[in-house]
Amino acid sequence: MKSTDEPIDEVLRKALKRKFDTFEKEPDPSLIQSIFHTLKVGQSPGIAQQFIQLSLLFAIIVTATLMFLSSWEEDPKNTLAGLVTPKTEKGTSLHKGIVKHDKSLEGELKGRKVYSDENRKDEKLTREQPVEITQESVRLSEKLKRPTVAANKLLRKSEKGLVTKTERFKDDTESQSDVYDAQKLSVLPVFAGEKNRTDYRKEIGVEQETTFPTQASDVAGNDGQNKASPINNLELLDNRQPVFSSFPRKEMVVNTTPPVEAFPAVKDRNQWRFLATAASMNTFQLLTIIPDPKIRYQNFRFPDRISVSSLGHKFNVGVEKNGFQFLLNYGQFKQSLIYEIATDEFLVEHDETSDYKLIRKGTPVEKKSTFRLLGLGVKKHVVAKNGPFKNYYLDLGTEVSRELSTRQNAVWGNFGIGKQITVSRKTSLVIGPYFEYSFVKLKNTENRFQIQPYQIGLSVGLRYLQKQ
Amino acid sequence: MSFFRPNKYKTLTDLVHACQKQDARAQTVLYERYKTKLAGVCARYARTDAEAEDIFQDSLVKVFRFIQELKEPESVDSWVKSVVVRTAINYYNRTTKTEALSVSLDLLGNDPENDDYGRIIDQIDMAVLMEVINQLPDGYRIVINMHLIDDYTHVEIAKMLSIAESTSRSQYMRGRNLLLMKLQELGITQNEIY
Repeated sequence: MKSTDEPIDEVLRKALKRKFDTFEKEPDPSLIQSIFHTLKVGQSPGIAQQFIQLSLLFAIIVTATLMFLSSWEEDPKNTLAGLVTPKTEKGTSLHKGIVKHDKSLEGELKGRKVYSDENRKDEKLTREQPVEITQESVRLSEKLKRPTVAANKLLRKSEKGLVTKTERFKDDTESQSDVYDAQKLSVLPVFAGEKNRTDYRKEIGVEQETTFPTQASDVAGNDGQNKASPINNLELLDNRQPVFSSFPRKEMVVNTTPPVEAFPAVKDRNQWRFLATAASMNTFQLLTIIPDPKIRYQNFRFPDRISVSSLGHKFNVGVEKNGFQFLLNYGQFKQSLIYEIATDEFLVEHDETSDYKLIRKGTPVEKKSTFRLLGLGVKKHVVAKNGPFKNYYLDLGTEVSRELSTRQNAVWGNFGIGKQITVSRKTSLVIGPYFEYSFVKLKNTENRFQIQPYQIGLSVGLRYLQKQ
Repeated sequence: MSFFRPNKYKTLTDLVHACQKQDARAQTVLYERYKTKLAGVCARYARTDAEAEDIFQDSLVKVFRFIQELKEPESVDSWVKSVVVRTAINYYNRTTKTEALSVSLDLLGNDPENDDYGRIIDQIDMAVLMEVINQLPDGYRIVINMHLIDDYTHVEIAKMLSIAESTSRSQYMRGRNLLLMKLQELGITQNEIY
């Protein structure tokens, strides 16, 4: 549009340009410091970020401590020392038995000497003294607990009805052969003379003398004395439990296995587990507005801290091995806010203090958007196996996800704690609070807003072990 | 592999790229490059020296924060200047609530020739001219600066100020007349002195 003022405008423009084109002014030297200080403050992490970082550091330390404790307890040396030492001080029968045979074995190995009164006196002293656990004694105790091949063989035959009387007796004897071999005790009193044998029987609490049938003829029993003996009755012999008078059986069969749980844990540390979890979370967000001189935003309103509009969901499926979980996840959450775009109109209001207040009018805008994220994640899953937090777990992980509509990438850190409940031998349920935080700001394409979400909620999942 | 950074950024594009990577040294170089020119622009748009410093500081912070969004590093000169202008506009949008703008569209007194205004501007001291411009009401001063010195069209001004184009034109007319009045007074004074 032409105007009558154009010539004078041109004159003014040229004159002012001549004057101002080369116009420069030295700014205050202190301004550079304040500018770069402002930049550094803007770039430094905020209080929320520092809190998250400290929380993650704390979580890492706790995780490392739990892992160290669990691995220390799984060490066989530590376990044996931890289990046996206190019982030894109390002098339980198990440890007396173990030590007694170990000492006897020592004596036998040194020169296969006859089991004499002196030996027995030594043994009495040994029983009353504090014991010392050796690797040899531990091996022997393990051997005693283990069923022998011969015993298993006999069991299978008896189930099929194929075992003969002689064979049954023979196998019964063989089934204990490992015990004999290990303890070297059964033979020793036999060759120690009648007096010593009697004393020994009294000492170990077996009053009636029992003869060991070593040959078939002994079992058959031809002379009169043997006929009167119950051993001649083969029926009785068949049903008789093998008794080894020289071996204190009762002391040796003390059960050292821990109480059986309803669902004993399967040794699965190196096996793959399948996982499926679902989490319902309340979403919070840090909102950043990119400045735009053309638009002025005002009067922001956000949904309530806990509301349906800020509810998000997340689903994970994956596998686990050695406590490391590899997950494919899908999640979605909503962003909702109301704001105004300021106009040039102002409203003068008279408030209670008789002052006039100038209020800028604005065009209200309600913004709702849904973020859908698909990603991959890795987690460390640690379960406390002992102590007051037994069966409580701690998860710490990270994941990378892609927003499906705006095609932005996000990096998340997540943290979860809770209880692991055994449902069956192969399946366990995990339930507990869950927290995740995005390290990346997600841009909203329709306006100049950036949001940095973080979510707190409840996670429920199932862990399934495929193999036995 | 270089163990030492080069002393100078070879091109303006290199400098901008370094600033986009938040290289502190490059930011200092960029600051030194633009500081006097931008301080002059701020002085034109501001009412006082203190306000000019505020605008200058805000502008430079924005320049360093948003330089990552600059797609064409070659156009950094005009981009930096536009950031300063926009910051000045925002500054007075925040601070200026209402102004009594009651200047007549008609020039006062005897009309001097158009060239006389050019001569007056050329002759008067820079500080005096700055004072004349600074004394203009905020709205007029901004439009005069944008249209007469920084070559923005009324369409662009209307868009940046979120006002109608006609409002921009009328603001300009009133501001220009007020400026001419002041220059006319200055010319008379100057003539009396000389």
